[in-house]
Amino acid sequence: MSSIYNIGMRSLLTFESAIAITAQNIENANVPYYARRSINFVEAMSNNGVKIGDVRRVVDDSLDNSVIEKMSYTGRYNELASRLTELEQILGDKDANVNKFLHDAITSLNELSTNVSSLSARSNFLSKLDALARKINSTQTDLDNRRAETNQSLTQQVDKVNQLLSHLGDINEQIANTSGDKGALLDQQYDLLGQLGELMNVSTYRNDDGTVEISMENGLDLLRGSDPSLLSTTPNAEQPATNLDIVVTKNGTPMNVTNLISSGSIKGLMDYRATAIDPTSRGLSRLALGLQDAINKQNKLGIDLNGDIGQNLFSDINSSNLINSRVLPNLNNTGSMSSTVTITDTSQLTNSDYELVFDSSTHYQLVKKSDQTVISSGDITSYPATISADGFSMNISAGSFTAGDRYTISPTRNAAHEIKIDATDASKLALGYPVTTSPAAQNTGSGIISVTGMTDTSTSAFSINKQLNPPIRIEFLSDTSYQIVNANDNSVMEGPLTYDPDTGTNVFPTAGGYDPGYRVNLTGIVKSGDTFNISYNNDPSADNRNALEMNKISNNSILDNGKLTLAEAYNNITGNISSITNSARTNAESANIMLEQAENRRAQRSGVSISEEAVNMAQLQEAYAASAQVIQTAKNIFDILLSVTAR
Amino acid sequence: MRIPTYNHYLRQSQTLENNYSKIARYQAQISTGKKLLIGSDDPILASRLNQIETSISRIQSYKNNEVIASNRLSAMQSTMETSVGVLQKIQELIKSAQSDVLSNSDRQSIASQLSGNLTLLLAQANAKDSNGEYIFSGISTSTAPYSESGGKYTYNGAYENSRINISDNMSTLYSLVGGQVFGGIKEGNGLVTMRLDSGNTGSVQASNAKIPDQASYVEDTYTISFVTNSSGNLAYTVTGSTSGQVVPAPPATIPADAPDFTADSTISFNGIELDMSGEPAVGDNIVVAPSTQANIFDTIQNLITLLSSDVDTDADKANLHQLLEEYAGTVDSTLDNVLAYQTEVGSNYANTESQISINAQSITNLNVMLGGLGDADLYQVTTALTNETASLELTQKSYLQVQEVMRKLLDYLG
Repeated sequence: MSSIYNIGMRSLLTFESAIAITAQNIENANVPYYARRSINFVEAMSNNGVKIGDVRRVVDDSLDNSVIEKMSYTGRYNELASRLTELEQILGDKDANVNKFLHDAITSLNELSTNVSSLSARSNFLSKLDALARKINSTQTDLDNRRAETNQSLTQQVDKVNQLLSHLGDINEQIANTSGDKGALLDQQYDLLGQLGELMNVSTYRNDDGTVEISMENGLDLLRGSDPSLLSTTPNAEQPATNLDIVVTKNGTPMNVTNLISSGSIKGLMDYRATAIDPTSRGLSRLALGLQDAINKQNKLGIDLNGDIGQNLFSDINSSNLINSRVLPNLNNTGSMSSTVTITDTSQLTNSDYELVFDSSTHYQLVKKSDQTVISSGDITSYPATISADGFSMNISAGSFTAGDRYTISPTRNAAHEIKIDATDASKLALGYPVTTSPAAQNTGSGIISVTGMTDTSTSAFSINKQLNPPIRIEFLSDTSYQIVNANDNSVMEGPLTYDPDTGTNVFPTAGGYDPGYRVNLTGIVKSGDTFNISYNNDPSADNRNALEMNKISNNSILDNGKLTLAEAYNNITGNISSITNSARTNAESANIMLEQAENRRAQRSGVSISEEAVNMAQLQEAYAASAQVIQTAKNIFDILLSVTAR
Repeated sequence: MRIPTYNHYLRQSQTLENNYSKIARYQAQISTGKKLLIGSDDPILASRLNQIETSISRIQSYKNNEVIASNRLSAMQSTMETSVGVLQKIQELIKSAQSDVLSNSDRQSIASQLSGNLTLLLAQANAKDSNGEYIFSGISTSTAPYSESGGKYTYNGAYENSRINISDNMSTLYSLVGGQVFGGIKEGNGLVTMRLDSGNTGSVQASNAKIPDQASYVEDTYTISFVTNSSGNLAYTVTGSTSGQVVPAPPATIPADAPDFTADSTISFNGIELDMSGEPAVGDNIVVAPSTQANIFDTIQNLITLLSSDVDTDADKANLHQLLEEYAGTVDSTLDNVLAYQTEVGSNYANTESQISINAQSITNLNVMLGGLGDADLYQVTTALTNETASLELTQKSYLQVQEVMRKLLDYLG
């Protein structure tokens, strides 16, 4: 009799608990990390009734781990793609980017070449050059700001990692100390592991008691038990001023783990810095160096409105600020060096940085960082020492080296920051040639003389202000021979030299090796006794010959060993950003799909299905009602028995 | 199969989000008309489009120069056309001045006509363009090419002409060297000039100088003198200022051995041949010198001076014809020279015009290419938009239906 009561009561309580668990499943249906609970009913041995065997969190560690792993992929590529998308919009804006300003300057120079005597046309060109320089500056500032933001985010994300590790450590402790239901703790643990995975890839190992051990790819422990090893940021040894590395401190010893992070949003940030900010900065600086060098050189070959030889229009590519900033000692160096880096040929500059590595106290290797090739090596035994490569030259005035010392050489560093217009006066635009030629009025031949180009105004020929030193007269001794005469003192400088009226001749450099830094061509029938004069240009106001040469700069492939024009160089920069943005986005999309699939697989196993739970609930309700009926029946039986015995 | 509720709704909302973002993209393509909203949509196409846009903007940077070059060259052309007309008029005037029936006053009136033509021609040489820059002073465009002082004309411009670019690979003439267009002309026939001594009394003159064989020609200033030789005949001698005695050849003596002079004969020495006409008097001299360079303004000025002086004697007449022949030669050479430069300007003008149309055509072609590669195919995008909208509606509908099923299940169970 009492056993019927007992069976009824036990099932009533069992099903009530089961209903509560089903309700818990339903309530948590929308909590993403919640793993559904399933109830296992077993026969109660004591009275052949029913009892709850156990309540299981339905999980599969491999499915959980797969989700966490995929989260680190999406973390990396979503971070990278979103930052790149923003950068691409800034650099690519066709109405406001560097190329737009370059184009404006070229157009202005074209117009100026038709009217070089106009001061307003000159000022217009100068202000366009100024705007171009400022645009390059502000683009670099944009890049620097983004680098600073990246560093800031890196620090924040590392803090977040530390918080998660500490929190997971707390949970490990609670799990270890709980003998009862650990379900809620395990749900939370799973949630935290997912958040951690999104930040950086980690390996997890689950102990039997439910605690997790977390380590980096190489096995370096981050969490074992409740005490995490914390991460922190530290200046990169090669680029301490600009880049951050990540270290894990264990027993007071910091270990650099930057390269062990291969996924997660932290990796995304480092990707962004390495593939977008760094190369774009170097490319922009190389463009700036090419522009300022070419314009400066051309202006120096010309003559300005005041009749003076032209000076630099832009700041010097080898200013003392710049040459000193191009060498960075590694923070771990024990030796020291004082050195500068001078750019010798902007057309040979690459988009790479270099590293000078000492493997003994004298012997060095110069490594090009883009492809890790050794481009030169040697010994430094005396000072000053010079190491030259790829369009730059490193001048070491003193040093003491230890094996393992490293110096980063960045020939393009800061150039985009520093480029600015030095000339404030538009009359300083040297748009004419400093040399003019004329045939003597009494010539009987029909020979024609002209200046064909300028190569150098630092020669002795231009050593006296507003004069040629010396002015030159070409005297024909016969129809086919001439001598070169100093027109100041009528002394013969060189000759006789032969002249072929069929081909004409380029007078300089002469057979005897005299090169005054300008080029003069003679053609046509020349008669004995004819003379031609080469003198300083005293009427430069309308001379546009150097302006035409300056205009060629924009069309010549002056960068990358004759492969790139300035505009192409910028297009390459934006093109590179576009293509890495595109691949980051594609990677993000496929990572998102993989994550979705992993989540779906996990949800198949662990997710709550409301319809399933509703059916379960209905079933349990029936069972509960039936159990109640059992008690009712037992009561009825008892009542009958009582009434019988009471009679 | 179990359908986990949270994921089911999550996927549904993600599907909707995807639908919406595709629709937003199609709408942006329709409103901008461009296939690419940003380079990373298709980096390869974007770099192609960038190249095309750079090419277009380079060509466009010459727009202003095209107009200026074209204007300048047409100004140069019309100036040179006027100059040719003036020179032709001067040729006619010289021809009429050569007539023997003219009186001194007739010649005077020709001289005054020439004077007008001189002014006109000088105005052409000193012509400015609309910017106030001189066309004929080479690179010194702010210096007036020709100036006059004491009846002599001097070229003050530069000897190098200036050019401007109208495309990356083509430059065109922007100014000419006036000293080479209107000056630098060899006097007379371009070989030698023959001038009569002012003290001549006879009517001898020389013409048609030739140098048949350049190899035997000795360049020098020669004087042909008329003497009486040992036979008592009218004879001639030739002496070079550096060659010394030429005819009779040394060691023959002057005047005893001088060859007889035959009227209207051709005499030759040191590679030069001259036709003689008129009657020389003993003591007359003809100076034969290599042509030197002249400018047309000095020549016309000399012509005016010549025609303004009275012609009274036979010797005067001989001198008149002798010089008129020379000046006519100089004017002819100048005209040829100006015509040659006119042709050069004309071909520069033609090349410029054709480059301008090439530039325009290139821009059109590049724009067509740009459109073909970069413009959104509106038909396709609209179709895709319609499809996407339809699929969005279906997704929403199915979402509602699933909710409905769920509700029914709960109703049923309830």
